[in-house]
Amino acid sequence: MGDEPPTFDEVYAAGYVDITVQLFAYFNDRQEAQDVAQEAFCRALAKWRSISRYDDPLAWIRRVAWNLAISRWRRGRTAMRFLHRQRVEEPYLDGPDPDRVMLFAALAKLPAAQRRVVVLRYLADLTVPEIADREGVPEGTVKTWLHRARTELAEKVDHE
Amino acid sequence: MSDREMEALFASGRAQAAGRIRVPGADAARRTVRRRRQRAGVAAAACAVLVTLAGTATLSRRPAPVPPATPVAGAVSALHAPGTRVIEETGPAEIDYTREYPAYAGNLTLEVACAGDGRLTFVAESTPDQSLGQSARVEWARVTAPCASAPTSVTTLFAVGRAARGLTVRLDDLAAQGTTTFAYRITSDTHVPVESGDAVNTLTAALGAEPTGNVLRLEASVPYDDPHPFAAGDYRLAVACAGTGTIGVRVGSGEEQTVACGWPPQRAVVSGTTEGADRLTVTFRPADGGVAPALVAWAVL
Repeated sequence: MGDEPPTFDEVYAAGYVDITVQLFAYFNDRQEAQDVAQEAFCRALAKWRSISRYDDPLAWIRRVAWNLAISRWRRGRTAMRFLHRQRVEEPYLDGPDPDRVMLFAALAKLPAAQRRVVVLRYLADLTVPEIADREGVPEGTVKTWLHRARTELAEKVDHE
Repeated sequence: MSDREMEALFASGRAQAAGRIRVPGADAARRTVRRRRQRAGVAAAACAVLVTLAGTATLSRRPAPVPPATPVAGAVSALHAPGTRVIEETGPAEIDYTREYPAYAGNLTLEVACAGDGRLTFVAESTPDQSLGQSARVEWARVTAPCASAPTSVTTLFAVGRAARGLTVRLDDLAAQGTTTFAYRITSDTHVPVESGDAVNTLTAALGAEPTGNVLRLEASVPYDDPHPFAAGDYRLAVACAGTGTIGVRVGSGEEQTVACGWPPQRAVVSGTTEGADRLTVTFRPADGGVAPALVAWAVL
């Protein structure tokens, strides 16, 4: 790409699926993950002239996606809780495969902060200092959360 | 579990999950941004008109009405339509909200509830097939639900139209104060979610023979008359019907034989004798309240 800033299409192609998978793992809800990721890219596109000149436009989009996801999730949480209470055992489209269900289901049982750092570490491939910066906590805290999350996940995955 | 094992587990999870992601595409993002800019332009123009009017007209000094307090509603609390759940969504009500789904078979119920203050309207309509140059949408269902802190749901029955590429659910109208949260659900009477294309495959598989003609899509009480006369003598027909209700199968002036439709469809054999030159007639009679057509396949054995 040289000195030319990347095009929106290039960044979209490089980042949409990765960001969606991260959100998917965090929320265990593919449709919501897809929507939130798309919304983050729309917001980037609306000011692409300046964002494309950032060192890492995708990092900006990922940050927006996470902020958006968490706030949307918070707003919709009460409604979702109600819907889940209503849910009866009925077949769904797109039954996910067992491995992914096991891993994402185990993730879903972790506290939100631990779940987030695990996803950022193992799916977004961020380093511990990057996660600490993202979360606004000391690196030691991130390491503690990761350690606890690994222990919890190992237990849950082994039990499935 | 070691860091390396964890990485391997997530690498596997990432690959599996990535295969399930549907990518809307950069063009879809462009359309969304363009639409928002157009809407913002219209709003700005409206504001300019209001400012102009305020400057030129003599306005009464009556205090402006204070909008009612709009506590953000809690739970969306009223969805319980019966049937197989094929779609379920919830989220903050935003006028751009649109989702596309496959075309589902059967009698579909759209149920909408809204928490907040005001009302909103969802429509279920066809997804145009742009590869065929289609741009118009056909509306199949429209539901207006009141928003309330203790919401109640509103439902309507519909069916996907002929040769539809897909089903789009769109928030068509929103008249709300403050933040509102919607929930909608689409259920089907097909027992398991069935896409229209799959229904045809299932039907022909159930028939257990090469269909004699095209698969029929029968609306209620509009009989199908086959143009080809039967030869004189005994006949045997394999018939399968996907739908909710029954079909009446008759050859010439012979007695009508009833075949049950179902999800999944079952093969039935109809037999009789004809003196020749008789033609096959098939009539669909949906179960009470049904609006979906039946798919019928038949074969001369």
